[in-house]
Amino acid sequence: MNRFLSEAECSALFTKVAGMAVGGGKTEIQIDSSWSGGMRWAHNQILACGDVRYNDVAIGRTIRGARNRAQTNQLDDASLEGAIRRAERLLTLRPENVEEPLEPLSAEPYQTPKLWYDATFNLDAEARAAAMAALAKPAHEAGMLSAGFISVGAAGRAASATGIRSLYYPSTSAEFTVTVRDPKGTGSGWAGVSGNDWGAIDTHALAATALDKCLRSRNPVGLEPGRYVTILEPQAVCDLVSPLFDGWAMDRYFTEQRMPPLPFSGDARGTTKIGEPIFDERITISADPMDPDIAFVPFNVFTASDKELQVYHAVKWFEDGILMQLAYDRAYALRELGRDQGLPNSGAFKMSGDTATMEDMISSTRRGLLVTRFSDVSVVDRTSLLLSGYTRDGVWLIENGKISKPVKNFRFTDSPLFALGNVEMLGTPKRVYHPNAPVMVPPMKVRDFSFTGVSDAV
Amino acid sequence: MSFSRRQFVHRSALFAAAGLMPRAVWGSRAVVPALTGVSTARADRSVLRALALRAVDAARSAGATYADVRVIRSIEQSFSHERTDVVGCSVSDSERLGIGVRALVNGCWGFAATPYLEPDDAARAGSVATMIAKTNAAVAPRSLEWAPLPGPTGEWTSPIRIDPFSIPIEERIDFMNAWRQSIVDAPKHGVIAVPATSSMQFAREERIMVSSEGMDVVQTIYTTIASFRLEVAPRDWRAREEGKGAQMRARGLGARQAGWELMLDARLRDQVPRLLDDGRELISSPEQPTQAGRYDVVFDSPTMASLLGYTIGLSTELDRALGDEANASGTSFLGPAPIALLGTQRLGAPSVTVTANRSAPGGVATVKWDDEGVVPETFTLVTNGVLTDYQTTREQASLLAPWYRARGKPVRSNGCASASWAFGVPMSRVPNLALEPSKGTSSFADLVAGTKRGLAIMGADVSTDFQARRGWTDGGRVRLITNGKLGPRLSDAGAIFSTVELWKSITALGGHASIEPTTLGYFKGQPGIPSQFTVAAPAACATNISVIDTRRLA
Repeated sequence: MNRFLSEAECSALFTKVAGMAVGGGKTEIQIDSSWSGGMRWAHNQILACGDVRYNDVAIGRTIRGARNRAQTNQLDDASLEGAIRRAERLLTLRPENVEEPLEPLSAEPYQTPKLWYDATFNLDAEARAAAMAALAKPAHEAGMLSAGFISVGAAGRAASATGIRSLYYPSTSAEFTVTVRDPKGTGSGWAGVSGNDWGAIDTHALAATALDKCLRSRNPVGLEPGRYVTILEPQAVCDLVSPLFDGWAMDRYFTEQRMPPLPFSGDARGTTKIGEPIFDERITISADPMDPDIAFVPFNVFTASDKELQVYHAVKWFEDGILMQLAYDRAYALRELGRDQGLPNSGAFKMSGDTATMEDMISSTRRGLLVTRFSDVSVVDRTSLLLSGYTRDGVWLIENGKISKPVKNFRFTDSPLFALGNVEMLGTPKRVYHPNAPVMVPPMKVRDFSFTGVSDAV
Repeated sequence: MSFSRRQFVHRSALFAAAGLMPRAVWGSRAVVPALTGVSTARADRSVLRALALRAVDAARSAGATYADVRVIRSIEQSFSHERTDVVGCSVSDSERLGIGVRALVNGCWGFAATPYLEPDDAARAGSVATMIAKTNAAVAPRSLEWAPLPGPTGEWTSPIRIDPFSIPIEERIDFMNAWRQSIVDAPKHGVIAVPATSSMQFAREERIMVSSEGMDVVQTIYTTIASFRLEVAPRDWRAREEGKGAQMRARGLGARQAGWELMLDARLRDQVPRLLDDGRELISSPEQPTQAGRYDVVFDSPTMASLLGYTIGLSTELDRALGDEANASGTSFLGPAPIALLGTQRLGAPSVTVTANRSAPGGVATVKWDDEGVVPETFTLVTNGVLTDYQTTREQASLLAPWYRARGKPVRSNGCASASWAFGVPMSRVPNLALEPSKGTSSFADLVAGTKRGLAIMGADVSTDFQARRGWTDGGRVRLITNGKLGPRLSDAGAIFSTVELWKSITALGGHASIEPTTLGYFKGQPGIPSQFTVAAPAACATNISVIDTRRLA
């Protein structure tokens, strides 16, 4: 048996389901079929290792403008028929058609980035166990505790509907994260990355980084909260900036509605800040499924916001610090822009950088902090996208151009809108750990980052 | 303790249910949508049980010394209404079925799960799980004490009164629309009031669990999750745009192990006049900036529940305290040597006693058997302010043997093993929690009335750091108390605390009647898998609490 459904299998499922429809109209199907293999360890011992298959099938029916759907994860005829009947039954319950009906699915062409890597697909349980043993060893030999997670997977994503060309895309995914702690619990270091190609992940270098950070972060001293010149490693930049793309901040409709206002709402209802400078002029943020740095599946199914299929195109959200676009769906495009193509936000993004090295940033700093990453980040104010959370896995004081000592973790309260306006230096963009969507960001040095509290948490 | 958990807490009730959350599969990055579903799912239960037994046999013959198997079938129906008019409810419907096998070889676990349920698929899952366990044991053998336990047999069903799936869909939609119509019809007395998001989800989960020790049980769990809201705003559109309106939530709903009776017992339409009055009072009371400083604080029951769940609840998971979650949501401030702290670590004032259970009626973590065949008993995490136990599964119970023996208690798991769904490996998950109320009858209002100067914090969210060492409250409603009366609202005020200091500062607890059971969710494992538990905590007073303006920068 294949580890996930092939294009031919998805196509056969659609044909079968379409033949079960009763009452005319259109039928659509969305499929997410996957295999994944995990390896999880802590304190140098394996906790769990698994092999999981999964399918999700959504069957939608549109009759006279009303549209509904039902889901199942079973592929036998009775289950599929049960789902389509449920979708049809729910249709009859709609008291009226409250939304302007949309034809199901769009027939937009999609792009074909390279997302399949055999090195990922072939990393079996034995290879994962061997990798774990090798990766935990240096920490163990140094008297430290290694905890980590290796995950590889492969998936087929498919969408079909009456009257349009079917879509299907296979991809692999790979991620590796590792934490090294000292047994007394006074130091902790982390490193990690996610992508499509297991072969491109330098696991040993990441494990070495986590060990080094652990050893150097032990016995931190407490420092007063306040405003600091702060050097953010790429992961910290991602943790700070990704909330911009994870929620509703980039949504054009909600931005225009301003109930309540979002970061890019204009002063008057119905207006936005598109065209206005928002960030430092060195900041450009783009997302393109074909960009090899952040390639991603060119369409999405099962989106939470909306039952629509979303086809991704290249987009520049910010250029030279100016807000260029906000995301919208097909319904918005048809209603407001008179075209049948949405501009969805995939969550993936790439931020431009510059040529500064970490060494340049440190040596040019008289007094400041170096932050590995943030944790437990939450939005405290949507209007300014004000975030609060904690630093984690290594913070150091920089004095007179040198790292002088490890310091205790801070609670921070700040916004990516402020930080990206206070940029002093930018380094080379790097892929970071952000498993829901690929992210590539540079390390950066910012002025006046706001640390509002200290925590003894390690 | 993680962004995801926090996001989870903030989500609408639509996603707030067990099984109604996007779930991540091992390594699969596609967000698996919440609302999925059942019709191999119509298969007879005896067929599913036979498949489970087949998987156990396959694991045993492949060399597993122990194996447990879950075949889980779920049906979920979700009704939601996000517009402000009366009609237009959207309904989604899903079913899901899968088998998950966990196998033990030389102290190492292997796990396999699949939605395919032909007999060969079940056998394959059993042998793959065992093969993986063997591979791990060859690389990194581990000593794990696994005391045998006779496997339980039997059936158990959530004690609900009315099966929600027996109520026609039309009737359930009408029920929701009637509440919305009653808001439209109610006299408004000078304000705007409109229906806001309302949602109801009904889930039935059949968990067929068998093991190599002879466990052979079926548990059928019903969960109902509902949130009905209305919005009260000044008669000025602009003010509403700027968020000056107040969302008022009907009481008595939330996430419960319950059936349709949850909706009926809440007497929702009767609540409308009171919610409008409360909303009008709230938006007309003045708002003032927060003066940071130390205050006596009265917390309402839902806020106390969040404080308890996200501080003591998370930090007393023994696996977390031992470092299992180091690379994920974090460890615990009770680590890295948590067992040595039993009997000595002060975790609160002498009035603070915290128990944990999987038996509270309506609690979403309630079961008869846990996923390892243990019958969970109520246990006491904190006794008169001192740490006295941890949340454990069978593999962790033996670590506490000296502590239990010294106190003349049997060495047994506290029954916390749970897999949120068939496609995830069982692990220790937080059970229902209870903070012991005072003997008296003090309500939240009584505690406010007894406070000369202070703050009242109601319905706030709680965030903690990655060791649950420190945290803060955010959102909800914060009001000044002067001479026992609620006064102006404070904008953006939050209590900031260290876990131990917070619980030591408790000066008074409300009585049993002040408890509003509150269900919380959190993520654990990699990738993070959500689970839920219900907390019963009375309202309480705490002294000398640090309060800040959460929006203020350094």
